Amino acid sequence: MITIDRGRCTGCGVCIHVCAREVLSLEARHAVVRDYPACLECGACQLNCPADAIEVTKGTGCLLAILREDILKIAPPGSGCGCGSSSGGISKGGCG
Amino acid sequence: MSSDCPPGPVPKPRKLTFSWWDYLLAFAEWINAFGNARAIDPGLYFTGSTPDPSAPVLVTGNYHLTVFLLWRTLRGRNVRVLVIDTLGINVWCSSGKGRFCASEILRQVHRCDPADLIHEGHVRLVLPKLSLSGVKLSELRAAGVQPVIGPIYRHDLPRYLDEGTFRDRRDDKYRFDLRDRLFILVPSVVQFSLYMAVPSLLLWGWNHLYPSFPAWTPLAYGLGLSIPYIVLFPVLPTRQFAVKGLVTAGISLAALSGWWLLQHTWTPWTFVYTAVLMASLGLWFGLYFTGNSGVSNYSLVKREIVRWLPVAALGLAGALLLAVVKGGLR
Repeated sequence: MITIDRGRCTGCGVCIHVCAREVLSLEARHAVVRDYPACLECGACQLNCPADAIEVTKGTGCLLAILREDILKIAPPGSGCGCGSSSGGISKGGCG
Repeated sequence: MSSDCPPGPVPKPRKLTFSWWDYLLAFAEWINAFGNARAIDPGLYFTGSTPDPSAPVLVTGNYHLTVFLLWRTLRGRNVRVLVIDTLGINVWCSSGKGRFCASEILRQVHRCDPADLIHEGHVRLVLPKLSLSGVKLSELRAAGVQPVIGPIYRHDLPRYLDEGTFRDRRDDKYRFDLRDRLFILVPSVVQFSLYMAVPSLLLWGWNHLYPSFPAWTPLAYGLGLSIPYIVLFPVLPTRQFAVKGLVTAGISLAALSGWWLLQHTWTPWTFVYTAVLMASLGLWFGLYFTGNSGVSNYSLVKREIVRWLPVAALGLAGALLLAVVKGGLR
């Protein structure tokens, strides 16, 4: 899910610029969700919003990742898709 | 920025070159074979004959295939490439995992001589737009780096570089058009075939005891479904991956049934087995394709998986059970 706190949104438009799917637009100087099904829930808008006005349920929209991370709970978040597992798993060290 | 430089010798920029071996490796990585993803050494590279201080600096992850394709796109140009350590994972996936991030970019920046990174008086870095799910632009600006939102597509880079303005590509949109889909067609089909080899092998084993339906059917029908699914993806009805798979299965079954009727080889057993198998394979492929598509919404896909995965599993088990029963009745 993606939610925008209208009280916090300053209408700066950064969220729109960083979105790769044209999910958001500006209406009356506030960001609004224009096309939710097109959203990848990648979290670029949330990460780059200077007003902390956006909240995204971030995750990997992939069968293997959801199966291992959310349903079977045998892999930590961000490592269930198997991508990069040959490198010894994913470390978030220093990246926040 | 220089205050954060680690002690020790500053690595010099290296020329970005690949050999014929890298072509083979890139091909194997592309078709998703052998689980052989390789990583490139992080650091600063240049594509011309010598490092050019007037050349723009592009940032990318250190997945071998990513850097190789970027190198091919930039051939004949003088560009500097800052390869950051993403553990050998591509840009989009590593940014989603938080590995392609501002602090990793800054770590690589601080490993370099600032003079090697200056472009038009600034440390200006052109980032792939798909990295922004991991990169907080304000963090880079606070560290004195000028980030620029670059194009999404590699093939848009030459024109972007020719423009020379280095403006943010704010309107760039990931389209998942036919070109994108054809690029992932072969790896998707190869990977799905490996999964579908399992029921085919089970059937092959059973057929040695009690001959029933041909062992190649799960593999062949899976392949037969996956190609039209990927090509026709945007025109298949609904936005649900699994339902698109069911529709593809229905169309394929109708075509097969017509062929059987013409050949007079149709039997009710064959039809029921094929219908159940096709429907489950359509669902399986739809759900599998969520990870390869690039347009999957996490929450919606999760809902789809919870709804359709048990149906797909039951369908596949049902098709194999039909084969067992038919073989046992002989």
